[in-house]
Amino acid sequence: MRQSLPLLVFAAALALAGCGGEPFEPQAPGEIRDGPGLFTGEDGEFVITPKTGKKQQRI
Amino acid sequence: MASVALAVPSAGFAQDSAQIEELQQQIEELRQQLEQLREQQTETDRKAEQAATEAKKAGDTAEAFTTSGNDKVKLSISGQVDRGVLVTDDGENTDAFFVDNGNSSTRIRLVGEARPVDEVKVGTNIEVQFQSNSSTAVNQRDERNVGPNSFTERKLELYVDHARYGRLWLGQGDTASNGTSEVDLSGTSLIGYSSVSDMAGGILYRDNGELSTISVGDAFSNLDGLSRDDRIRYDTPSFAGFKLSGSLVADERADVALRYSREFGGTEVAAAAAFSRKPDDFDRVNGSASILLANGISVTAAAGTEDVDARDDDGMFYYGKLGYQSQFFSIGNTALGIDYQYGEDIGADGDETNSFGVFAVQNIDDLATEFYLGYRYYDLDRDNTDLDAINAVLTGARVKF
Repeated sequence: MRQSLPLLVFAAALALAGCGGEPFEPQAPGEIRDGPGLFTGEDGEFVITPKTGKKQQRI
Repeated sequence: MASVALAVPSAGFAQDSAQIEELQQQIEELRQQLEQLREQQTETDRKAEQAATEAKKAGDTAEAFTTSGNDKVKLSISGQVDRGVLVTDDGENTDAFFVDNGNSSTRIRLVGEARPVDEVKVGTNIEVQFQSNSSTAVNQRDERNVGPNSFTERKLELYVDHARYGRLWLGQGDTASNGTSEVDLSGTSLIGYSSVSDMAGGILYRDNGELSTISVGDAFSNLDGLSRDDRIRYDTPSFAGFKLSGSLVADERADVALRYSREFGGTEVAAAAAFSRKPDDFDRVNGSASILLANGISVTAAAGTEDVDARDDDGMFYYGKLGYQSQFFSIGNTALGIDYQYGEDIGADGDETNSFGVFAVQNIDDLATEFYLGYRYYDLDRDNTDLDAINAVLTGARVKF
């Protein structure tokens, strides 16, 4: 019981913390970072969509 | 006299008739000219309309190929180049290497996504790296032309994502536990994080002055689960910042992981923990947590332990980092950090490892570039050896293109 007390405190703190706040997605080390690119501009990526006869339906 | 009187009006009438005919002829000519002009105008209008239609078609085509990314089906291409200079001192010699930064390798990525309905997303991900002289591979014996000289796999996977039911992955990619020792909000992970051997993992220790076969990468680890592999993986949706994941790999390898991330008024909190198993090899428990305060100060910690079947002692490590980031210069954010890692029985029973580092990363927003400079110290105590500590400095730049 004594050894698991810190774990319980940690879990309780996280659970309480989970009741508030805003969603947030951390960037994993080593991955291509989010944000603009030197050639790809603000989006940070080149985006290709299919050629169609009519205008694409927007989401 | 009378005949003369009659002749005069008759002559006048004949003259009027001739004038009338002439006028009628002129009117006819004008009418024909007007008709020609009308035909010419009609032809001009038709050509103009045709040109406008073709221009509109061309415009629609251009719009379809270069869009804002909001379409229901799209393919996104991105990537980065990350090159640097690594200088190491092994206690006897100082060497310089021109390397690909092993903390975040040079690579390209192609992500395809489709949204058949609003709540469902189907995706594919191809991410491959091209490491020429990786900082994790170069050493005192192989200083250049190190590496496969081709693309190597990182992620080759597909996924189905449902807003309420979570995401299912299939293929080569992150297992559920991958990255659970590496949560780091310091902004300096590009040059140093809990996987301390990424900076100079190939460098060989000197034993009594002679180059040994023991490398930095052999002795240090952050016990980060099952890494990337060919797997099937499931992630739950996020519940109040919590997300549970599990994956299965061939040879009965499996793992589960719990992640948490949330922002509270400018303070970011992230944590992860995992259990992973390779039958006939090891069981691992590991985790990490990081907090970034609104004032730019960050604290990061990680720890892990493993029970290796072929060993007497359980391997373990713990890691801590203190960071600070601020916009000192108008060109972009500056991040600073110091860290320390201690490990036992990672590479061999009885091993004791110590590593500390100092890091700086300068972002240049307009160029999508990060310049970095870092120093790391690697010390290994191993039974029956007398190994010199290794010092490494890595500087370079990562450019996202």
